Amino acid sequence: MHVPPRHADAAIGPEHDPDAAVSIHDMTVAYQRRPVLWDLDLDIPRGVLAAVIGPNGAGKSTMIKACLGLVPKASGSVRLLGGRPRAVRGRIGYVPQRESVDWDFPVSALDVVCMGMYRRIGWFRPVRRRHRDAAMTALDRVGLADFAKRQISRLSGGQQQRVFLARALVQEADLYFMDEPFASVDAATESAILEVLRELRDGGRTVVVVHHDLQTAREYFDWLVLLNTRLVASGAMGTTWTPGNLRSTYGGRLTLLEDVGRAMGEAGGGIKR
Amino acid sequence: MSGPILATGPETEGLLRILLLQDFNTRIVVAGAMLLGAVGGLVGTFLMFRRRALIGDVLGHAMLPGVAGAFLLLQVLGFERNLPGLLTGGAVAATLAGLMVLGLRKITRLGDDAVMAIVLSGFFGFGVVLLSIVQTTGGGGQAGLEDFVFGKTASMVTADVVVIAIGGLGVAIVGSILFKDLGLLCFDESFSASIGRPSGLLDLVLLTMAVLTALIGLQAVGLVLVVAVMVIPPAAARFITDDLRKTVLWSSGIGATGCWIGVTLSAVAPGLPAGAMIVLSMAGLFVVTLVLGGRRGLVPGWLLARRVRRRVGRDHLLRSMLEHRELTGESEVAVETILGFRVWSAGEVSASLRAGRRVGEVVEVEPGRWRLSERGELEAIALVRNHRLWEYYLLRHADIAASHVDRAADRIEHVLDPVLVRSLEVEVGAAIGARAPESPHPLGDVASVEEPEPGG
Amino acid sequence: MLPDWQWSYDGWIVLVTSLVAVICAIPGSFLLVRRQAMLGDAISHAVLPGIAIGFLISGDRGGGWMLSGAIIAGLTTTVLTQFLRGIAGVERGAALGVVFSTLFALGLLLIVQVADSVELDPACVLYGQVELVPLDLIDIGGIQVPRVLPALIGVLLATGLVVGLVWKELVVSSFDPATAQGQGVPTAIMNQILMVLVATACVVAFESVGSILVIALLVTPAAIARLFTDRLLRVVVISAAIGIGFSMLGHFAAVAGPTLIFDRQQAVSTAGMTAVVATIALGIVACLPVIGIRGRRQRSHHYRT
Repeated sequence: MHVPPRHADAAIGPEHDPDAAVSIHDMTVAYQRRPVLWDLDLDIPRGVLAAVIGPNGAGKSTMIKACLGLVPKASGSVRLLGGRPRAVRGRIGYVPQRESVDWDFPVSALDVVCMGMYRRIGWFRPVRRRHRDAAMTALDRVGLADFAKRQISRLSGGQQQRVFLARALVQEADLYFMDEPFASVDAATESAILEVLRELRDGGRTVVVVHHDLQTAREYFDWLVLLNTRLVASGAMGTTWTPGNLRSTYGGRLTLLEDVGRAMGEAGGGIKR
Repeated sequence: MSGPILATGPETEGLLRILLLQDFNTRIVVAGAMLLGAVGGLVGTFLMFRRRALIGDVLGHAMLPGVAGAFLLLQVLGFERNLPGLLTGGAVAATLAGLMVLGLRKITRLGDDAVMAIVLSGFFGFGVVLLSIVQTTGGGGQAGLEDFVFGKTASMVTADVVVIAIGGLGVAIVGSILFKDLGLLCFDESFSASIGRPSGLLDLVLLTMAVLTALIGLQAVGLVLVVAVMVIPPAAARFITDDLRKTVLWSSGIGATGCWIGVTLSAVAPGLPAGAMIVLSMAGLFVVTLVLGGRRGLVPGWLLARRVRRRVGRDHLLRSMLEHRELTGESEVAVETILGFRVWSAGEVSASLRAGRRVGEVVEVEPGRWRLSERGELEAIALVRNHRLWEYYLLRHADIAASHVDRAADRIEHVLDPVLVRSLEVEVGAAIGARAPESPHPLGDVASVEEPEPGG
Repeated sequence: MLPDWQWSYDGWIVLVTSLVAVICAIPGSFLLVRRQAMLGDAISHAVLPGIAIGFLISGDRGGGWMLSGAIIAGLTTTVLTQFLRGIAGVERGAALGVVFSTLFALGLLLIVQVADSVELDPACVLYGQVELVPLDLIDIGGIQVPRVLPALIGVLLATGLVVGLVWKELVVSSFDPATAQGQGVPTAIMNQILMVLVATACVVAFESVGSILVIALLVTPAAIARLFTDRLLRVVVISAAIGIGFSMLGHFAAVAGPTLIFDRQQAVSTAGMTAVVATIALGIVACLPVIGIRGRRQRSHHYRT
């Protein structure tokens, strides 16, 4: 019998919004032989700072990895910046979780930042002075200019995270995916990262951040994707940050909901909006 | 000594004699080899979980200077070449190598792999140096030592098997006494240390067990290949089970079986090198478990993945067709329309449709137009209900993410208790309403049709 | 100096082992920082069936058949190991152990079955006979040079060229594969390039000096260099220099050691002695308190939460 190719990208169906930075349709991701994301359907517009929020195991990192094609999809399709992920890969920046690399590797902070420019430098060409200068500028922006020559294991966790961020900066991508950049970093790093993220957004770029801290989410971001193995809600922070949506995301975690309530109270009582 | 195990005779008779262990010598060799395989499987499991699987390779290679050194020493002192002396030399050298691995690991920031490669090359190099001395001092010693490098199972005698049996039993006893402590060390070293288990001492015990295994493997498979006895069986067992205890048992069983097959093959064809035959037999068993192993084997894994994919496809198809009927009131729908329901390819849709037709859930009214059968409709309703109940449950009650729940596959009744399901149905009642009756059909029915027989 | 040191003989040996040291230093540094140090040992064993099959096809030791057989066997090792790790989820060390021990056993079987064991001795693959290098000379432009010399120089140039061209791609795919892919670097191909370099080193070494020398010169010099520097390029350069030092010291010890210690005139294996010298040197360096303390302090800086 004739069996047609089973290509997710060959799929047809509802049109993707070409103006969206991220457009996901009907995405189901089976990870470890079990679906962990069901029927995901969402658009994230360009030029926003978006938080992906949900409990542990909700599939937040999986969603990002599936968008980038690092994890195979069981069904559905993804468009980034209006094109297929593979085709626009050069315009996408990815900041992985810190544990994903070997920090004992004998490279300096500056070397790591330069890696963000390898596509632009091209094959067979060495890293030149101007590339190193650009990397130094990026390190300076995250406050690490003095540590450029340091081997990366001799940086603190927060500094390592900022090195990753500097590498994302030199990529000059239009769309960034960042996996838990705020996880276990010091306060100085947190505000440095936030500042950079806002600069990126103000420069018209889109940043999608996996975030775990409900307390800060509302203050930091202007677009919200609530995820719990399926999409709970996706939209502008003001309209999406509602008790109902949060409860839907986090279920009956009462203590947590109290925290949320307090957080919302502190944030200026945005519940009634 | 190194000749065939059996007296020559008609081939089939010889084979039978070997298989039935009629020959005393065969019995000895088979028993020794199987013991070696079992012990290797036991020790190897812990080494693998400790992420030091290749230490067996280091210990094996490190025995060369020990054996050659002992040979030279015996020669200088004027003794005959004797096995216990050579083995003692090997044991001393292997222990030194093991200690050097643990020591370098402690005082440098080099990784396990680097330390192992460094120690291996140094000891083996020293062995080569000593071997070149043996070579130039003349005498028939070199040929005898080569047996240790590549193995000569057939030359095992009763005394060797007794040695193997004692060593093997010792390892097995220590392994079972310290089973849970070694298991904890492999799983979570810091916790193990925090409850007062000395990691260094346990590593030393594990090292001693590995040295003993390498030692008894030296005769049978040779020092270059002794690593196989400690690596292949546990790796194969991992395809079969996820449980540490069962991994140990399977691993020992696979090791013993592999050694038995290898020894038998090399006895049937005396020209074949026994050590290599043992390793290749184990490799054969490894391939079998790789392909068929129930836990992580390729075929079960592939079948599982295909089943998940098909289930997702069926789920999407039935729900889409039900929704279409409810929105438009039309029960028939064209393939092109179905294609527009979701993001899926024509291939996916037609595969799902064909699968649905096979089990009688959808009917092709005319070419390109389909509708749900009566049974398909019941199934679709049940699916929608299941999805909604799960979602509702996740919204209201679940305090952790539901990544462990497969909403299409796990009937909510199978996971949650009936009282909760009833209350969910009541709560969700209005939403499901007319579309999904409370109990569309007997639940047993659902389970029986859930996994359609291929081609049925 | 020793009476029986002859530059026309010992000089060639030192030159050849030094070339092997540099050839090994380049891929060896990468293996070290990628935590794949045992791969050299594994590949040097696993090339045996390739050598046997090459010998079976061509019927003699020379020629490209054994070389290509060995390279194919080396690549098979890494492909199978990757397969077992990736698809079947076998732990890295165990996957390597399964593959190379099986291939080595297969090689032994093939050699015993097909090849005349006098002509193709599995032991020779492991130990090597550097001592024979100066006896097997060919004439190039009127100068008598060891037959392996042109091949070694060729491999050295090729290795240097390849690594020089794709240096930054090799580094990024070793350090952070996800970023490498984002930057358009095909990580799988970069890994295979590295493996080809390791396999080539093993094969030319088998032809000339024996696998033990390769195992010793791949990882140990790089490990020593790594204790002194935090930059990968420096690791490569320093380990090449250290490797050359070990080659000289190793051969000197092999020739002079027996005379000095036992008053014996017969030299011992140069390949073996070089490996011993390398490991002893690493042991000494590791025990130097300064380095030891430095190593530990750095590890405590290493956060992984």
